[in-house]
Amino acid sequence: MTGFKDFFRRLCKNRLTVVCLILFVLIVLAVIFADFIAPYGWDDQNIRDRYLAPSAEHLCGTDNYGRDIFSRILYGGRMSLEIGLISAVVTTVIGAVIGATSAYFGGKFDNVVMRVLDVFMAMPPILLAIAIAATLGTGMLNTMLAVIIAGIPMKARVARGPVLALRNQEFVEAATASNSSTAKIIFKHIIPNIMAPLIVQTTLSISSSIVSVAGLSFLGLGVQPPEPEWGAMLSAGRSYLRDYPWMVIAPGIAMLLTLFSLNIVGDGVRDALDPKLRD
Amino acid sequence: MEAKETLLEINDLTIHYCMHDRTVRAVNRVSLDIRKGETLGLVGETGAGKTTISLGILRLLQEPPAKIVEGSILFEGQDILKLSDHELRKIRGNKISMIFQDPMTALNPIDTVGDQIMEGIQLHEKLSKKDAYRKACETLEMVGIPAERYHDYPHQFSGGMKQRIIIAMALVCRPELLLADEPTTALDVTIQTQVLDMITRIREELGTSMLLITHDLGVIADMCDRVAVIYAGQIVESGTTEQIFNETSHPYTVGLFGAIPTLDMKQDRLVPIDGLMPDPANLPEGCKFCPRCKNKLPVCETQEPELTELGSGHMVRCHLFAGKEGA
Amino acid sequence: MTKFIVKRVLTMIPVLLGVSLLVFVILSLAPGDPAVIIAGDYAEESILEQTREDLGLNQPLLVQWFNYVKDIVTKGDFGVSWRTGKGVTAEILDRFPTTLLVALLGAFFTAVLGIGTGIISAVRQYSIWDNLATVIGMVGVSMPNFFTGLLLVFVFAQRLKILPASGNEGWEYYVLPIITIAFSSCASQMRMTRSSMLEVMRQDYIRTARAKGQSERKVVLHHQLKNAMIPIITVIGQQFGILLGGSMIVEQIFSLPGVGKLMMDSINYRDYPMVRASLLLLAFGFCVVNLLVDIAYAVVDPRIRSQFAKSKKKKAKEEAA
Repeated sequence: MTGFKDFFRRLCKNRLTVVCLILFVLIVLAVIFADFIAPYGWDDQNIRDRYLAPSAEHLCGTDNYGRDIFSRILYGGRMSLEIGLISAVVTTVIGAVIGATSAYFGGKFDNVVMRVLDVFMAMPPILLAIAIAATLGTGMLNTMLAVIIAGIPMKARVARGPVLALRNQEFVEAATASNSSTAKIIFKHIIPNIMAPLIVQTTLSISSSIVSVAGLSFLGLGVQPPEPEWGAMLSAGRSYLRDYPWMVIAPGIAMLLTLFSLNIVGDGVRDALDPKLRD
Repeated sequence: MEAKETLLEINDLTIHYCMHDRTVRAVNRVSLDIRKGETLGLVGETGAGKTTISLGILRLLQEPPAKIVEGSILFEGQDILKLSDHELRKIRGNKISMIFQDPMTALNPIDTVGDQIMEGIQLHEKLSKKDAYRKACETLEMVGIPAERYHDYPHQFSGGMKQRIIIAMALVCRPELLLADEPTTALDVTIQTQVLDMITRIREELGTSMLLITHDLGVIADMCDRVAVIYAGQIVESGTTEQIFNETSHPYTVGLFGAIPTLDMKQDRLVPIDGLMPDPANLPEGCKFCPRCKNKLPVCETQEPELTELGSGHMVRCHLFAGKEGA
Repeated sequence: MTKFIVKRVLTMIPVLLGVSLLVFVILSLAPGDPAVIIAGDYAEESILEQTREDLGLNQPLLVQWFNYVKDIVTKGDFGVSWRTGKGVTAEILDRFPTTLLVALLGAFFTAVLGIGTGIISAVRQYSIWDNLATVIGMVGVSMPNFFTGLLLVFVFAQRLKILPASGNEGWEYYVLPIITIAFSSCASQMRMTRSSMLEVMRQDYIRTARAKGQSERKVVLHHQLKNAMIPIITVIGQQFGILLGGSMIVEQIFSLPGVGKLMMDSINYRDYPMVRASLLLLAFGFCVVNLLVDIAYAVVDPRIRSQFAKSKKKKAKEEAA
């Protein structure tokens, strides 16, 4: 527990990090309690109130169906954050397992795994995601799956390095020499030691997962309207940009704020956990 | 002792590291002098401020956090601390050069070793490229590395060879003063002697003075004319090597002699005396050594001792010797 | 060095084969019967069967893949579009320069601006420029490129009316797409440059260079930057991948007729040969860039060079010494 306290103290050293942490927590709370905060439902249409500019009644204005954009942003944020968090965790965990096992067993097995990863990584991740999304079809689950598969190779690579280094370290060698089982070594010695980089990786990839999903939705390959996903909202607002810019700018800024605070917090977590920067 | 001309004179040098929340008082009013042709040994534990002093002499400290609070460093009559950047660069590597502790990291990994030696020549001497190249090759040979390895990169050399290259880099412009900061600590014991012998040989050839920083008293006995013992950023005892070895006075120095590492008692770092050096951000009020001293007096806790001269040039900072000048 | 390059090019071949197989497998899993897509929904079964036979769709997947690769290698033939019935190759090659131009210019500005501001930031650490650059950099990294693109369209094309929003009739049509595509990668390039410059700044050999009497300018440019280039180059490679991906979105927003737009359109028409070829071409471009990055590594870093050099020569030297 002192470890966590220590971590938190280091995290709070930077003022910008603290501000962004608070901002992010507020965003998370807002989207979790969207049902109570949102003044309207995400699909409440009102033909008479179409294209309304932002006002006290509609904080971010209304769209071409007369839906309240602020409410849609809240519900859309829930979706985006959910997708981002789940895909970041799943990607990192699967990637770490592949990378760690590969590095741990080494030799031919490692070689084959790395060559396969090379092939995956020869494609820019977003292209890979587009190809997979095109095959799987649209919808939240398929989109997440595409983003996850496209992200795994990179994570495996990242996890492989530290394990490779750990494997040759004395305490692991000692454990091997004293006949500890492979599983025990992996769970007792390897995993605790790569936890820090894994947590950092997960934090940093939440935002990239959100962007990837939103990007796919923007291209029409991801979450489909009328679902209020941010990328899909931007895509839908495109045609009305000239006259009703809030349809694009409001969800865009929501996204920017979320990603900005996430990235700063991610950086903060990395600095706080990075043993290299510890004094 | 015959009076030689003073080459470098440090007066009341005080260096602090200013962090966000605390100030580390690394070097506190240190005065030293090095005469032409002699070797001064600077002994002390890790963290005593030895490296800070040597870096301070060439103003190589990272500022901030480091800050030279007061003092002067007179080299050939000029105060180094008051030189312009341009004047300073003319001294660095030319008149005063430095050998660093860790040969593994002190060389630029992506330049050939020859080019790194030649860099100094081209900066300080007006030689044609060809002549500079020849001189770099000669210097390599001088430290026992075949000239045909000019075009090799640092990673192709062993630690001992790298240190030779660093020495070649330091000596290529025949400096007046060599600052050697634990030049053999990072090396294998067997290679240490080789490297030290080589430094001695070349230094004698070139007539270079040297400030040798070490925590190895054996090295001091072999190589130094005079010794200064440093503790918590203060000189606690200084004098000729004989004085320090034969008339050891300060309790800390006595402790140091009690802990000379031998080959069969392998130790990386000296812990000569019970306890640890005080936190330099939070130094004790009176004598800095007081908390660990076996012979402390009541006055030690409250009042900081001044330097007392015991014999000619033999200075001690300790209340035990107060009022015993010239004894 | 030549040996290194040859070796590196040879390792590209299995990777490219792997990529083609990967793309082939992924797209073959796509729903829908190609024969129906080509012949139309109401085509008779005999016509469908004939179509399948013509396209070799009845053969095992691996055989289809083998034939596909064979055609590419021997004839430069990427197959026939299911939508137009014409060869895919000509269409793709027609579109490729647009994408290449946007990506290359984007990479160019990323490198110049990103590395430049990164150096200034690192050298003047904690100065107002550094803080400003850091915050702008973070905004840049956090801004999804489709939002950047739309904002630029709104401000410069729709409100200020100084730049066109879409089309490609001249150089001015490329300004906004390139800014869009370069903005975020510039930001991450800057961050990377800054942090690796700072990392190198702490190294002992930088102090060694100063101790030699080297001027500050040369210490920064020669010793510091040259060493910092190693991680910076890695980022340039990755950025190029992101730029290629970004070109999809940018081409979509600004209606630029590049490979990305072609691919998105083809996905909508389920014209998989076209999608396949676009993907392969973009992946190929990415591989070539990574090849260049690796060569650049070897140019900068002798340690990498010597890994590939004949180790005999080195050993002989070591023994002689």
